[in-house]
Amino acid sequence: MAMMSKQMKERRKKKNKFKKFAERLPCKFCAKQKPKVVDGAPAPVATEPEDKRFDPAVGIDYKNLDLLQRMVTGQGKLVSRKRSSGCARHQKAIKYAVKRARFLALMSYTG
Amino acid sequence: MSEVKKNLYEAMFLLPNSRVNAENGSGTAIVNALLEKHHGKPVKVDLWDERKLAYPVKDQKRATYILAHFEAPTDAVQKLMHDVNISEDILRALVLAVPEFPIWRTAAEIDALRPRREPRKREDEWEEPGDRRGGWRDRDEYDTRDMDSGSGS
Repeated sequence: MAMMSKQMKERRKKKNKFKKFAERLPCKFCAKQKPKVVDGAPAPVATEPEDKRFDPAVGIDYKNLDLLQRMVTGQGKLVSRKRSSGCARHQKAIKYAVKRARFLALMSYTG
Repeated sequence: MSEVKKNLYEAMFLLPNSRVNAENGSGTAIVNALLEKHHGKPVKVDLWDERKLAYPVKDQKRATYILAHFEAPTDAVQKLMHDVNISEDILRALVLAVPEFPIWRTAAEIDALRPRREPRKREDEWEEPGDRRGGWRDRDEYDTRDMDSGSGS
């Protein structure tokens, strides 16, 4: 019986490991959250986005094809928010950028 | 009251390569003439890229992209798009109203800004080929003490 209970405990641990709702990742495109400014402390250093392959100088734009190519699947569908980024604002920006690029024949509608 | 409100626009024009030549400044003259016809004030009109299309547009496989920054009255865009649809010089156009002009960059300049990865090392690549060929037996400092003591008792 002791063995059984051990096994049961392990199973329960495993179950907890794979939670039904995964923790949300921070948005790749948003700048990192600034540290809280304490009185007398030096000003926080300028932040940069989480995604190192994203260049904020170009931004999410229909001309930034390198970024948009990563935001669609092999078939040309938009990737889910889970895979692309974390926040609504940037997902929407990606959506419009991809649709504009498709209209101008910079990207394909289908694979 | 008679003041006409003006907006800033960023537009991309798709021209067929057959209509683009050195005479019209690689197509910029076509776009400039179109904008000025509708009382637009071109700020910068220049070649963005010449590339293969993702899908054929009006039987064209390649086309010239011209990016334009211009200022125009609010009612001009509708008339401009009407002309674009009639014109045979322009395949397509996308006009966006912008709060302020973004930095003007060609396709090549945007590509150059792209952060690049270092090339990945292949697993079968040897750091120093011939270093360990023949396995551990060829080593000079090969210690046999463990084997002797192990078989002893």
